[in-house]
Amino acid sequence: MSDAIPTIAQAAAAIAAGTLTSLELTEQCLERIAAHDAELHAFVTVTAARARADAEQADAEIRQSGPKGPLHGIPIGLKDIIDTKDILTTCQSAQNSQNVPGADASCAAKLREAGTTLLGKLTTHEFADGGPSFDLPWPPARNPWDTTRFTAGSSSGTGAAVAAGLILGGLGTDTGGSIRGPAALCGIVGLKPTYGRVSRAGVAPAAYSLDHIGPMCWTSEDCAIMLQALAGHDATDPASATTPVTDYRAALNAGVKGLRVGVLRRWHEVDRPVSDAVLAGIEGAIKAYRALGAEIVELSPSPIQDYGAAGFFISTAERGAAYEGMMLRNPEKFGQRYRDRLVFATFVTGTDYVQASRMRRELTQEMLSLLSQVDVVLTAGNPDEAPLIENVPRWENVEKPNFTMPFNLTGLPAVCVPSGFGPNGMPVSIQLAAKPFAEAMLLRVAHAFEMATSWRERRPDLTKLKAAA
Amino acid sequence: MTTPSVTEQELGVFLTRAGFSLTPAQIAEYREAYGHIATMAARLRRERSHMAEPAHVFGDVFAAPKDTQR
Repeated sequence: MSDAIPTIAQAAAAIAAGTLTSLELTEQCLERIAAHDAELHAFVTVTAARARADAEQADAEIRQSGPKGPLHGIPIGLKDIIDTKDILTTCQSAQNSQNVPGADASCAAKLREAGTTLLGKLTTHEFADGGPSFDLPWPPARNPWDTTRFTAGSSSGTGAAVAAGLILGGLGTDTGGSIRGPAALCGIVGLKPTYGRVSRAGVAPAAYSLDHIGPMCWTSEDCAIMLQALAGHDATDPASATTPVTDYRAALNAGVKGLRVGVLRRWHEVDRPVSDAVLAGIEGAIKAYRALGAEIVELSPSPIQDYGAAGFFISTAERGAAYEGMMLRNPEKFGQRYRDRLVFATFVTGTDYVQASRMRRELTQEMLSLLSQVDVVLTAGNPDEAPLIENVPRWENVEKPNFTMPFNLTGLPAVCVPSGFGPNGMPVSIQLAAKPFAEAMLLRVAHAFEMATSWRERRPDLTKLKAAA
Repeated sequence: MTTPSVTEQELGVFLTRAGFSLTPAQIAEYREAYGHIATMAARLRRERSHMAEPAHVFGDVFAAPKDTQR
C-alpha cells in the first residue's frame, strides 16, 4: 500500500488481503499525530500504548481467523465527551479535568467489539458547545486545510483528525450540528443518524432530546461501515430506538436513477443566503443528480429561523438543566463561551420551552410531509467556508440560524458531504436529510454524489503544516 | 425589526432566580445577546389550536406514516 491515507474500506480490503497489518496502519497514524498534532490540537489524549496493543491483538486475531468485519484493525478516535474505561475523559473542561470513567460508553464499547484500535480522545468544545475557546485547559482544534481557520464544532478534533489522516474514522456528537459543521468545514463526511439510532449511554449530555452520536469519515461508505457497528437498541439509553437495523452498504452503489431529491431553496437562498461557493456546490449537486437520473423537486419549508428558534430554546433549557449544578458550585471552572450558554438558560422561561416544544412538533410534521414527496432533501451544510478562528463571533448561536439544527429538532438523519472549495481554498459542503431510519438511502444518495465528482480526491497538504516542536 | 432591549437590573432578576452570581460588567455583556433571544422567543408565539401540544407519544415518535416509506 502506498503512503496515501487510505479510507476505512480501502484499509479493510488491504488488511483482509494480507498486504497491510493493523500495526502498520496504526503506526502510520501515530507518526502523523507526532508530526502534526502539536499544530492541529486534534487530540486531548493520545493513547499510543492502547492503540498498539489493540493493533497487535487485531493482527493476531486476523492471522488466526480472518477479520471479523471491516473495522477490525482500523485506527479511530473518540470525541472527548465519550466515556472510555480508564482513559481521561475531560469534556474539554476544567470541571472534568481529572475524570477517568470506570466503563466505556456504549458506542465506544461497540467500536471496540468491532476490533478498532483506539488512538485517543479528540478535542471538543467545552461540554460540546460554544467554541472556539481560548480559556480552557486545552487549545481549540485547528483546521488542517489552513490552521488559522476554524474547524467548527463541537466535534472539532474529530473533523481535523479525519481530514488530516491522523485517524481513519471517528465519533462525533451532534446537538445542533456538531458532527455536520466540522465535517463541512474540514472537508469530510459527517453523518447524524436518526434520533435514537445510536446509543447515547455513557456520553456526556449536551441537550437530552437533541443529542445524537455519529460517524465522521473521509467517505460516505466509511460512515456506512461505522454506523453498521454502532446502530442498534440499547436498553441503557432511555431514547434508544427499537427499529431494526438495516444493511447500510447493501444499496450504496444502487445510484439515484428514479429517486426524488427535494431542494430546500428558500433556506439557503432567502432565509440565510449562503456564499457563492456554497451555492455553487448545491447547484453542482443538483446538476449531478439530474444527470444521474434523479428528479429534482422544489420544496417550500417554513423559514429556517422557525427551526432555529425552537431548537435554541430547547437546546439551551436542556443544557441549563444538565449543568446548573456545576454552574452553581464552580462557575469559574467554565470557559466564557460555555458560561454564556448557561446564562442564556436563565433567560428561558418554562413557557418558552413549552412553546418551542409545540413548534417542534409542528415542524417535525412539516418536514415528514415534505419528505413524503421525495427520497431526500438538499440544502447547505454551512453558509460559507471556514472563517479565521479568531473571528468567530461570541453571540453567533443567537444571531443567526444554522442549517443543521432543523434535523436535530426533527430527529431526522442528515449528512454533510464535501461539494467543492471556496475562494480561500477551504472546503464547502452540501447537506442531505432523509426519512426516519432511512440512513441507507441517505448514504446511497451521498455516495452517488461522491462518485460523480472529484472532491474526495483532494486532501489537506500536511507538508504546509509546521514541523513538530 | 427593532431588537428588544432589557436593563441590567431586569437581567439580574433572571440570574438571581437561577442562583447565579455575576459581576455587573458580566451582566452588561449579556444585554446584547438578550435582544437576539427575545426576538427568537417572539417567533415561538403564534395562534395554535389546543391540540398543538408537546404530547407524550407511546411508540415510535419519529416514525413516518407507512405510506411515506419507500
